[in-house]
Amino acid sequence: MPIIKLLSSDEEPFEVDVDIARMSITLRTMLDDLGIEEDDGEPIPVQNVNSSILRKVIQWCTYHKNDPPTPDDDEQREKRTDDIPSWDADFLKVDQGTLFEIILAANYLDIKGLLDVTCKTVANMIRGKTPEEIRKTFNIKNDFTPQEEEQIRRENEWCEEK
Amino acid sequence: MNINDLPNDCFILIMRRFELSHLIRLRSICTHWQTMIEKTEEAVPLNLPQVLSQLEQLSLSLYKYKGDISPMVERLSSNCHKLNLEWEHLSITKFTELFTHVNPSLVDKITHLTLRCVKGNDYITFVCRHFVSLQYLSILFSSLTMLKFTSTFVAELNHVGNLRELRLASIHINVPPIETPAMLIPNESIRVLELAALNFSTDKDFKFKADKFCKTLSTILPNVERMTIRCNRTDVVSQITERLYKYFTKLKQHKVFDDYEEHRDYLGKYKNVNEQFLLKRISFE
Repeated sequence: MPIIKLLSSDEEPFEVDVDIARMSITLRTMLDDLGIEEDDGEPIPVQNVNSSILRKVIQWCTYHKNDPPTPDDDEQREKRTDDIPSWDADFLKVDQGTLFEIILAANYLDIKGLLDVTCKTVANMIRGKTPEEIRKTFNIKNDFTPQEEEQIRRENEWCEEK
Repeated sequence: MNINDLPNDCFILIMRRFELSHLIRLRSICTHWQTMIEKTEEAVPLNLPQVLSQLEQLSLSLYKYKGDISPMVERLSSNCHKLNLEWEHLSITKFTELFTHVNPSLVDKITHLTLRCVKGNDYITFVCRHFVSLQYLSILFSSLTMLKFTSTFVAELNHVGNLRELRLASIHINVPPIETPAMLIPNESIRVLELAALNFSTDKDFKFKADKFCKTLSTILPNVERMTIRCNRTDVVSQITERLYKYFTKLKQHKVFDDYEEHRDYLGKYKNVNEQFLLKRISFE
């Protein structure tokens, strides 16, 4: 299996199977454009991802390397958040900061499956909570003025469950 | 790192996991969430209540949507005259509830009604008895539905005195023997009739009686001026066409064709293009 080297933003090298690296559309495009098929000594810089996050991303890709490709625009699937595989759920039991860093990395590296499962995980942290609980969960300050809050309450009235 | 530090595109990806009603409620978290959510495509109809109350025409293509449309229907005002609903989950019970409880003032304001993906012919009865201002009615059934063209059927249509256009699709028509004139009060208002995806039995023993079909139809709807029939049997097309003007004395325009005609048209055009292409090639060579 051909291997390539990736270099994290804090300059830690990672040796990765080409097939695993190619799960990232960003890396795949880079490899194709540069005609790289295996390690030629030069590591590929992954500038926006530090070593601890890149390690997690590689771990996820390694586990999912044989998964069938995810359909592009399946709105129903996108709206579902109760279908996170148990391995992924355990894998994403990390602190919020790490979870958001993985989302950033998945977005930058364009790994649809990882982006999908991380976004669903955050959505699940929001679902079923009151606004106050959501603010507490994510440490968000309510910066609305009372007038603005009243305005939003009036606008939201029509979709409130009766 | 905090959720609010995520770049806009990542934040919006998370928000796209929510249905509209949930998404709208999430705007109350903080100003950042409000701004971001208002940028998501899903939240475009944020000022829906205001928009709905001013609408003259509402078209909802909901397909397999499982939510409730009562909050929308409730906000439609007497401005709304045209309604187009395409929704697999619109049961007759739900439909009845929408227009008898949720917004009963709407029924006598609607002049144009289109229903798609509905099951069963109970809709015709309800629509005719309640939507008394209708001028245009189009119902596309989700599966083949049997309609009996009888005095009862025409009596239902007669509740809607201004109905000028009737379009029905995916139907199997039962044409019983014509009833005595005393039993039947023909519908004189319908001028435009379209029967699409009209199904005739393909059983070998079934003998289509074009005279009976045209006679019954013209007795029920004598004033039809424009008629379109699209059916499943090629042999029936000519039989109906030949008799139309004999029975429909006011008919000005007609089109009777089978399900395959459009396909044949396409193939014909394609063949033509091919020939032109070949001619060009020949002249070039």
